[in-house]
Amino acid sequence: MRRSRPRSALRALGWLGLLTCAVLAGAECGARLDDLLFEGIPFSANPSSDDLVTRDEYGRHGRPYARFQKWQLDNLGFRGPDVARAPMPGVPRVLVMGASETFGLHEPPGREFVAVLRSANPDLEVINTAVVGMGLGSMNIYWQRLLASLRPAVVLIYPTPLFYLADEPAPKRAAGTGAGAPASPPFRSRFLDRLRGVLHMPHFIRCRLDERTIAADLARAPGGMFTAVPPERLDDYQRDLTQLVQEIKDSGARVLLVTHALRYRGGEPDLEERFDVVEERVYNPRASGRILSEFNTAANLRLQEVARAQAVPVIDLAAVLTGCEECFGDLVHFSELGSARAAAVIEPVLRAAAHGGAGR
Amino acid sequence: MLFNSLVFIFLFLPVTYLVFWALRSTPQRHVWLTITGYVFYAYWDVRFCLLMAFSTLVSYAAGRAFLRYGPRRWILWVPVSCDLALLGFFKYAGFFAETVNAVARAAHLGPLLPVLHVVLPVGISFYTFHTISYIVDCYRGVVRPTRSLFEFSAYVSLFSQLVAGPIVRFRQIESDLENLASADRRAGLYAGSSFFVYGLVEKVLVADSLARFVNPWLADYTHLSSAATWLAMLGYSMQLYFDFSGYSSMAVGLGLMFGLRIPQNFNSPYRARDPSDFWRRWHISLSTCIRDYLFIPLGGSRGSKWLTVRNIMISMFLGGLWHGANFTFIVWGLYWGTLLALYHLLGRYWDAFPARGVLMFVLALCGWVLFRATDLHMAGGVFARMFVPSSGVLPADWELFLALAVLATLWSVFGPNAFEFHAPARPLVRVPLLGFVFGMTLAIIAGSRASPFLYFQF
Repeated sequence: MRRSRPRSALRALGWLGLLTCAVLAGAECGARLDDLLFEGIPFSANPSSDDLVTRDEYGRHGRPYARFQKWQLDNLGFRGPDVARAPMPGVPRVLVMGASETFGLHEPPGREFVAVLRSANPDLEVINTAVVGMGLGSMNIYWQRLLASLRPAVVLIYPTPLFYLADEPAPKRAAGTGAGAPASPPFRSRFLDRLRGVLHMPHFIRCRLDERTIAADLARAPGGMFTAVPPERLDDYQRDLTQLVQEIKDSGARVLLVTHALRYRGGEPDLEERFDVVEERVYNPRASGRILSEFNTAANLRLQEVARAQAVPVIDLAAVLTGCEECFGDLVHFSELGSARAAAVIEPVLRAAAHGGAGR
Repeated sequence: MLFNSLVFIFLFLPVTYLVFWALRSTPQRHVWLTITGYVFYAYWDVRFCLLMAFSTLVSYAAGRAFLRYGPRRWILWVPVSCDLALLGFFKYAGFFAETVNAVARAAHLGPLLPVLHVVLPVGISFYTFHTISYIVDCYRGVVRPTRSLFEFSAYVSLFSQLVAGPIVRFRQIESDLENLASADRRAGLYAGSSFFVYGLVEKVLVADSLARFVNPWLADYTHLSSAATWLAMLGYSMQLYFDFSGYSSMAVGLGLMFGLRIPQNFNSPYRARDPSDFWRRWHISLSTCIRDYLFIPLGGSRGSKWLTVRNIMISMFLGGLWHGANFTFIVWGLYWGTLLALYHLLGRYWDAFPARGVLMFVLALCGWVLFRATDLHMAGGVFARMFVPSSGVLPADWELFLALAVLATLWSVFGPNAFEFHAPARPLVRVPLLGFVFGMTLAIIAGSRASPFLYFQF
């Protein structure tokens, strides 16, 4: 009897192992077959969010025809339908520049604010040229090397000031699409990717993990936490924005600037404990929730200064959306509702600019 | 909570199973099945647990009254009226008021009744049928009323058949319920897992894949060409069958895992060669209930031909209405009543028709138009597109949809159903095979493509 008990336990473990292997193999095959049949993704491919971005002589930009999960890029690497290099006669071309907020993260496909603008304005050619994780510095290069050649009539810029609180000049924001993440491994389980999509770790656990990451990053950061809004970073932001606006204006296109909205106003008593604030701090460990909010507000004032100096219109989206919690999926990215509201705020000004009503 | 959800598969089922088999006595297992049934139901909406508890207590009390006073009519009618009143209020009150108001408006009288927008409790049609069948069977002396409240509540709230059937009659699982302590765990797990995985495949791999095409196509049916409309309806016929058959197979499998033999609910209905044969194969538990508790008490086929036709029409009218408070279901019931009546009158001509299996399939498919339509206007529109050549669109990806629909049709007609399917007996083949297929369904569930069961709405 004593001998048989460990043997039967071993046998049970063996069966369990076999069953687990079979289930995992079936799950992986099922995920790949499903992707093949319904999404057209080759069975043996290992798609990742990195596929959406490439780096070549044009700098860092979207990879043409790339697709990952719900994100699908066109012939020039933009999110949306294919576009010709030359604008269509009589149809003003509008380029929308920005980072992941503009590219679209939480919205279902076709519901990001640029897509809403596109479908609501068939007399305009609205193109989403946003690239995940792209700060103003990179946008300058992007404009010079790629976008200027598309000869837009209007360029709408929705910059992300919070990038300037990170210690890297052009911080890599994963934010769901994972751009800038390390190169994907040779095998990536699509089944586990699916599971990650539906099994959400409870917020309190994710908060604790994020706080540990923040603490570790902070320990390595030379300056420690910001105690106030760093003015030199605001200056950098203003300088880069001025340069970009000037470059675009020089090409003959009209520019529209949009202030950056956040989920919270900043005065909330439990701001530092909010899950999405902690999540954002993973990218900006030196900034508290209060500093994030204050920096965003200060950057929007600088944006208005740039607009005045360059005589370009400003759409004050921050005034409309900041504090509307249901308009955001996290601290900075819009929900479907937020995108719809953003499009509604932007549309009249954009139409006026595209049809010559708003000055350069 | 859905059988095809991660929370059910990885949390509810393992916990329920492990605790159930850790308990030793039959009463303990009755209590546990009752608790898990209510937890399962409360996951959808905790408020309606009270409704189910009320229905259970009333029916149990009726059973005890039969034991004490014998088969009295008032003991039959009071609890049955209670159950029917619950069902009528939650399922039909709004429909009735809207219909009366529509007639009144047509007569320029204005709305006469207030329309209550009541949430329909999931599965109310099923568990009221369970309780009513118990009371009627007790009255008829077919079953001996149980003295154990928890045995009865375990029967009513049994999670495997609670929200979408099959409609299991007490007498069908009475002996299993009484002998839960001596159930064979290993044999139950062996057979039950096979049924459960088979049902998951039917539901998740077939029905939900077809639903990806059927739902958007029929949502925009006014733009479909005739060919596309036929394809959409073929897809829906298969979606509905594999959806409900899948649920029933999973229910049977779950029952076996807990030592309960739940009867077969689908026997490859698209193999049917006449309307009567179809209803012996489709939703067997409902059709036998309608037969035993409605058709036969009305007189069945004992009277003249025309009396039989009347009884068929009444039974199918009420069978249609049972599916939902909508004129589409009433017309669907009458459609089937007409087919059954015609077969009753002209059966010998039908039986001589060589392609009667194909004809039966097409007639069933046409019936699903009424079943799927949100209103009679939509049903008319879909029929018009099917039978009057129209030059609408054939949406993108129709090739894949066609391939899936044809494969599903072949499976439904020529493939084995859950009761005919025998997983390989050798464990070394069986375990990896079932595990692999189970894994495939998990991938689809994790991809958030799995959808609720169609029969939940009834």
